[in-house]
Amino acid sequence: MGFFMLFRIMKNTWIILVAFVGIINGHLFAQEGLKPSQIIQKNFVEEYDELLKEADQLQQLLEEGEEEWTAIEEQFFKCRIAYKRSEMFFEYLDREFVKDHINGAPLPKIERKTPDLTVLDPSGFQTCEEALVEEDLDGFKKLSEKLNMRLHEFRATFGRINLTERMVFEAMREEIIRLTALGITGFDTPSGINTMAECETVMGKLKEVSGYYKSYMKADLSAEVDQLFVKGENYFANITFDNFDRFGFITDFVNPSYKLILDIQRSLFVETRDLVFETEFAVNYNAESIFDTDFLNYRYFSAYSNSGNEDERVQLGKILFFDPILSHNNERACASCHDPSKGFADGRAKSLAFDKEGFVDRNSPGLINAVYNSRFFWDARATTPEEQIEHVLFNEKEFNTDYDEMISKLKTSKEYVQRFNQAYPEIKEISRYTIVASIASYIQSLRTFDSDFDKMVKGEEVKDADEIKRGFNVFAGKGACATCHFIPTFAGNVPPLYEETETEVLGVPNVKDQSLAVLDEDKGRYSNGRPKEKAPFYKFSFKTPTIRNVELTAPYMHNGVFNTLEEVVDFYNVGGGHGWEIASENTTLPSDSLNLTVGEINDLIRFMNSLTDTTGMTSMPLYLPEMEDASLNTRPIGGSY
Amino acid sequence: MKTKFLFFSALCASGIAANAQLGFNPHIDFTVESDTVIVPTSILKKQVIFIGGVHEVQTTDTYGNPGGTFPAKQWHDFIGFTPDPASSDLGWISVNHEMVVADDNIGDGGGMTVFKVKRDASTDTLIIVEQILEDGREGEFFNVDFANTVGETGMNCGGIQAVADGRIWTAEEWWRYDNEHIYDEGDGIRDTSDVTIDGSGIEMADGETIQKYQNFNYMVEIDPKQAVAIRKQYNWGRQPFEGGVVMPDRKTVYLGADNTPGILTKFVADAAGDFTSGTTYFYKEDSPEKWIEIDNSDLDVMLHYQDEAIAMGATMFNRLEWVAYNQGDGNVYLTETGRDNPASKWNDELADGGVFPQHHFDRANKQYVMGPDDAEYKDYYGRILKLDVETNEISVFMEGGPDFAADVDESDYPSTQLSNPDGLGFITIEGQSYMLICEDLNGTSNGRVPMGYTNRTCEMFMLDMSIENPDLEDLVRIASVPLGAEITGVRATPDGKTILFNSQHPSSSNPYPYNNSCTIALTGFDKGFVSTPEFEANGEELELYPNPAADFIYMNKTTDVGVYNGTGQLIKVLRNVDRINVSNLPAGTYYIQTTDKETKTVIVQ
Repeated sequence: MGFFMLFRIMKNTWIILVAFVGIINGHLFAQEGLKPSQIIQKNFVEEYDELLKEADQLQQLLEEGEEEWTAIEEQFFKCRIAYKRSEMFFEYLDREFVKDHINGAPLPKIERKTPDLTVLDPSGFQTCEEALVEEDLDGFKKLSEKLNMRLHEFRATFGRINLTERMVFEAMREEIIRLTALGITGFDTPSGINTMAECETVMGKLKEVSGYYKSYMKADLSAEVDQLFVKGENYFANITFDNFDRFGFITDFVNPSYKLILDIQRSLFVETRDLVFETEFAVNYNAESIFDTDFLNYRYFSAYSNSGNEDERVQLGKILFFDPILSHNNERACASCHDPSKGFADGRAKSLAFDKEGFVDRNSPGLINAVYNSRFFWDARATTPEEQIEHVLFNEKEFNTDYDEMISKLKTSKEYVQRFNQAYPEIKEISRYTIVASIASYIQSLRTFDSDFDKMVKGEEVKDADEIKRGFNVFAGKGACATCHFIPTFAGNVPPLYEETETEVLGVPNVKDQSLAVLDEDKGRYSNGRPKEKAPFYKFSFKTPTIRNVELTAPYMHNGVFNTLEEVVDFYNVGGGHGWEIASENTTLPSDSLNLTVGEINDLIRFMNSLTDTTGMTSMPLYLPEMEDASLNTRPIGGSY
Repeated sequence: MKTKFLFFSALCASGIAANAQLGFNPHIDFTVESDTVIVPTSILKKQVIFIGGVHEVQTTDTYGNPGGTFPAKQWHDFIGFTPDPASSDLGWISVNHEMVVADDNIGDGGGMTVFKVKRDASTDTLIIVEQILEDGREGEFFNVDFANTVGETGMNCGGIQAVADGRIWTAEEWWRYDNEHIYDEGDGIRDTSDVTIDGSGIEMADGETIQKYQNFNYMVEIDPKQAVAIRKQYNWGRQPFEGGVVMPDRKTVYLGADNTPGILTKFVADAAGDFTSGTTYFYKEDSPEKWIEIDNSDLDVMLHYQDEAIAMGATMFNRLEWVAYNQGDGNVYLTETGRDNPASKWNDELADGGVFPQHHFDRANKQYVMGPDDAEYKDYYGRILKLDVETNEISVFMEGGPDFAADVDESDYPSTQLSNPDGLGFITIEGQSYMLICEDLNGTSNGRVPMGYTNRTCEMFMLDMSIENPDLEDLVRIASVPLGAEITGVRATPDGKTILFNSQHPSSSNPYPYNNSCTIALTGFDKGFVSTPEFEANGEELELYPNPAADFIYMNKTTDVGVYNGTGQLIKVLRNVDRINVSNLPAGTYYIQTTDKETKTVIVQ
């Protein structure tokens, strides 16, 4: 540790809400033989101590009896700015601690790994900010004191920090995702008051950290870094939360910097994550764009993904997907409710049930990019695509079958036996495992981020570009849509790791006539059969679906209550279930209106319709394998209903 | 800007040009000959012997459905081993399924699967034995019939293997508090009608009628040979049980409850081997006699065991997990896995009369908080406790962590670390006793996994019990575990050759079958198992020492290492390590290079 003592880093001073730009290079005090990561670690410790100082200052203010909210608010936001300067490494080093105690969502959660169900109250910055907005002084005092103690607790672990160059690059790229998906969208700033100043702080920190590598880089890379940050900084001139150009910021700064930092890492021979860990991660570190199809790693999300022979399995799975032979009455296929021409949804509020006796319980979701989830079904009951498939096979309202029945039928087809043998040469068996793995392989192949919007982000020209840009800016800004439908999946998998699929309580009505509507009685996640999720705050909670291909997957919501996107947006615009006065107590949607104008709503819908892309995924098999029982050989591809 | 100028001068002076590299070259042509180290094939043989959801179990007629063959449940937890002295077969293995699910054939709730194994005479590996049971079932794997015997079980987590004869109990951990809870809208226990207890042989219980949910949360004895349940142990109290042990006297039982507060219970049978009558005690550290009798002739007292014991001043632990008997010293060891902020969970019971054990007061002192009831009191890492069966004193055998700065040199972190110990067992190899410890992390924060990206891995450790005052540095990780898996159910065979464990809910990215819950056997611990090769650390020149048992190559210094394949492609980078894990390297030639460009050739056989 001795060498650390030799330097000292200038204390930064800045004033809240005032941007600081370009003062960063002055920090480059250096010492012979010291690696960038060591300088950066030292710098992080100093920044963290500044955060503690600001947090202590806030406590002192409160202890002295300050009751003026303007003074409290000013000091609170000073803390937030100091937090944002430490966030990149604080989050990277102990994300669970940050989530639990420092900057987690202001919602109750379930204690992990306990032999009973214990609900933990939320705490941390965001909960404080809510108390601040509500001017709840007692609540704010308690919460900020707790936060202060937790900040000090983490300081005691610093002897264990040992940053490497790899970790610095990973932290930077993760922070770019965080800035994009959680920062500029206002996710972690409930009041919105200080959002833009905080985002600008984060960008300044990224510039500073990357700057420590400039003397190692080739001149052209170094120049590129300079140009990029100038571009990024320009977006913050004279802006408000509502008028910040998020589309421009993402295309001109976020996406290029996500690639550039990887380029720098590779050019300096700093090992990437795949050379260190043997496990899969949800984010594919080697992706160069946040809007690449393989930005996320589908293997992470599926149970049977690493088994090889993928092409044969996808082909076999595709045939099984369209073959009604899997169902008890030989009439229903997966495609019955997941029609490729409808984005793999079926256009109905609720799909027809087995033997046409009524309907299944919920709306059929689309399947493209469905693999990028760690929870499946509206009630989040399954954790992998493979587990999801089994629920459909056994469900009495769906396939109403079991493995013995399925396997004995499939075995009467020479073609199936042969295809299973080819796809699983080491197993050569039609079994529970090989059936499910095949269908899952097909679902894993249904992934694409190549819609008009993705093309625009990558600089290609598309029709209605201006409307789409404006619409995206509403989606990610004023409309607050992206605080649940996260960039870039536009679904509920939480950035920056995308490992956890969220559910939300919106207050969805049972019918679309507002004068007749009551809250839909479906309890959602609360009733998903997982004992550890039977918490009151999960009542009426449903999975956040992707907006990708939403143009094709009407009607909407878990019960298909809304037929058009206009109806959906109107519902949100008045505060969802709050606006309809049917919301339950645990509703997670803010109660205020979004105040979107007609023009904004039109742009927003145009943007959502620009996320359509089914290229190469709509084809059906040309025929189904012949069965021994000739009467089965007239079964229609995709099922008869 | 002056300082910046100095920075660049310094760089030039030290000979670092622009575009200097900060890591290992992704490709090197290794043309110069270097020392060759041979890593022999591991002496440990790994077998997957029971795969959840894939292997099929034989069931009995259940809920009006005829017995048949159905895929076994998943979520393997406890493993019991019952030796077979009567034949050349090794014995019966019992595996818990820690879940609650409706099942028309296996029975609702959780459950257990049993099977018999023998050793292959030439390789010592395990072979599943075909059996025909008394009820006519034939096959390899058998579902333990609870539904038709003692009633369904739920969340079968830990259990007991009796030291002397391998009798087996399964523990119902997850606390059930009403019928709606167990019914779970038809996904859980579907028959919620009252239960009239029958045939338990426990006098105060037989003939009594209780609500269905009250028929959960017991230690439940099974017969692993016939795959049926024998009795729910109503006389040991209704508790969220996890672990226990029946001592060699076949009379004394120690039982741990996984709760905050968790009570430690002792039962002493009137006659050896008959657990239907005897005396039940709870642990009270602050009393001179330590064990206080609780009235087990009153079913109502047993149904409200924790409340009754707390009211009488029972000692409150923070989640007791497994309880194990050490043949080496005759004492009992137990894991207290911990809970991050226990105050809100045990303060009501404190007010009702419960007492904290001394070690929690000591820890609270160290944390500068008022006591274990302080909202700021933290228990992130858990610990292993030792119960001296002579004095009845409980002491901390090994504290998890490192918790406080003083525990371990921080520069050693995280190579020295143990968090949330859960499963616990012992293996005796050539007369020497080793403790086996399974981690089950309560979280990843506060140093329970290394900082930065890491996938939650729970590890199994081995500790040589002949070490006096062992600390975290004496723990030896046992390798060869599927990625991302949580290790549960550690169990050694009495011959010291095999360690059995479960890989519960492993990472989905493992190749089949490791993506299912699996029971795994590691065999060969009798073949000269050594924990660490003898060598001088802090050597000047790099030397490598392969350890065939643990899949590690040890180095005589701590450094950064690049591992290259035979064609000179960088395949792995390790920072600040003194060992290289070779368990995932296929046989072949590799090159190891350190930051100082020291190079060795390694041949993995």
